[in-house]
Amino acid sequence: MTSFPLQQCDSCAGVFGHPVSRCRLCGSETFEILSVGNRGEVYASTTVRVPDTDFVGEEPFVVAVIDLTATVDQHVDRQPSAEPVRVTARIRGSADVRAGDPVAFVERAEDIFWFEPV
Amino acid sequence: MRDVSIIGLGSTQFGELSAPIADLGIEAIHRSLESTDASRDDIDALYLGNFVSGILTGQSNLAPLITDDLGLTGIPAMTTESACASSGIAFRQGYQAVASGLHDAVIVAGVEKMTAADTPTFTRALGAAGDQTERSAGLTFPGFYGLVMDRYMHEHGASREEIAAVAVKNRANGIKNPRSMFDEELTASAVADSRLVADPLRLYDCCPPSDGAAAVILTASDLATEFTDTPIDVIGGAHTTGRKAAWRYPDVTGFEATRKAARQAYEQAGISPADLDVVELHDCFTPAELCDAEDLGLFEKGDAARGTAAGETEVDGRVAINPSGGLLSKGHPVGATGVGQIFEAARQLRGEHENQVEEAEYALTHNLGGSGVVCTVTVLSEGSA
Repeated sequence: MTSFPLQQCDSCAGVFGHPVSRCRLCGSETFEILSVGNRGEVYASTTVRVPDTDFVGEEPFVVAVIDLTATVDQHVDRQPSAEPVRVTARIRGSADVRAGDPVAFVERAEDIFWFEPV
Repeated sequence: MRDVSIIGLGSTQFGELSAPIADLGIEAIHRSLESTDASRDDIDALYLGNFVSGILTGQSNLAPLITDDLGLTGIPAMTTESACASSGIAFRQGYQAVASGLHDAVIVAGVEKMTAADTPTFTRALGAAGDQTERSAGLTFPGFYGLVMDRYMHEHGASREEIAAVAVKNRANGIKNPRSMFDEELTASAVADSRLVADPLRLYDCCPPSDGAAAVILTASDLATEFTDTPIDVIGGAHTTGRKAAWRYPDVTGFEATRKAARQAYEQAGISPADLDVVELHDCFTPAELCDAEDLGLFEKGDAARGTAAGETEVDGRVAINPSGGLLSKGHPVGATGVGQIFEAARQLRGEHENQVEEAEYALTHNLGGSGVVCTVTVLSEGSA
């Protein structure tokens, strides 16, 4: 199992699903990588059938917004929170996933998070 | 701050146009000047909205170039860029310049030329307004609204037929508007049978790439009757920002930038959503009209699809939404859309629109950019002249 690489700011505990080089909340440049498992749930999905020039030939492909199942103590918009961390990702293959479907993180490659249906 | 009024209106046809982009802007501005007694000497500045001309036509820096072409050489001229809200923001800048007393009369325009590019090229150009976290995954703007529609249907149980009613209504409106890109009737079954673009969005759920330009002239309200007998008053407005990507939204079936802008604009205007007769809102995709209508307070959350299918937003309905045909039918030359909406709404309040809403007294325009990350709302009323 590949755990999703969640970033947590060493200084303010801000949590980031999509990688950042500088904390969006406090400006710190030091982070800890949290191991939060690999499970998530589809919040919304779409199948892109008309891509832009950078993705021509890959269509159709599925892009989904995914809530990571694990929650961590964090700061969101400067407020303490334990809301699920949400990321935008690709679904491996062209699986027809729907809101609420369980998915698992596979890898991060070329700046893309990849998940697959469970 | 001074009250501000619109004294001149000009627009090109929206659609597939052969003229170079600067010529489109010049045509719209000429028409706005011809519609008023204001002369070139009265104009203090030009604010021009444009989004992607640098990428799609190789021509940027349009505002000063057009200023020189128009014989207005020497006045300040600026191009504003903020995705599809580019000219809505130009309007806010022009409004603030007049309201503050910096200028007495300004031209605000918007222009775009998109149809010469192939689909992957303009899709990438428009996608430049998205956040890198989603662009890197291949998410397009139709894809973003595919996510919105997927979640809207999941949350609110809206049917395919109800959502198609947005496209059918706006096409019926657009057929009556001579500036509209499309002039053929659209049925719900044609929407539902059109090809998928970004599931569940289909082709006729999407606005077309378009060319076009629009312009208005603003002045202080106490000067307006020097230039026209039919001024339109700008009684409320706001410019706000929101979330940069789908994953940033707690609820992607609405846009907080719209809700915040609407609150500010209603408060300034001293009206409520129930007072509105005409709304030109940012229906770049069918689900966008539903979310926008709810965010603007025209429906309770989750009710817009049902209400649209029931005819509540038709020209003779409870509130007319997009009687111009909207982005879906009139077209969406992205940098021109915000001023184009104001052009259409002002004509409604003058009682001279080709698809007239009876006794229109208050109108609202709503121009949204990117993933809902930027928004302008403007409230207009019949002039007090």
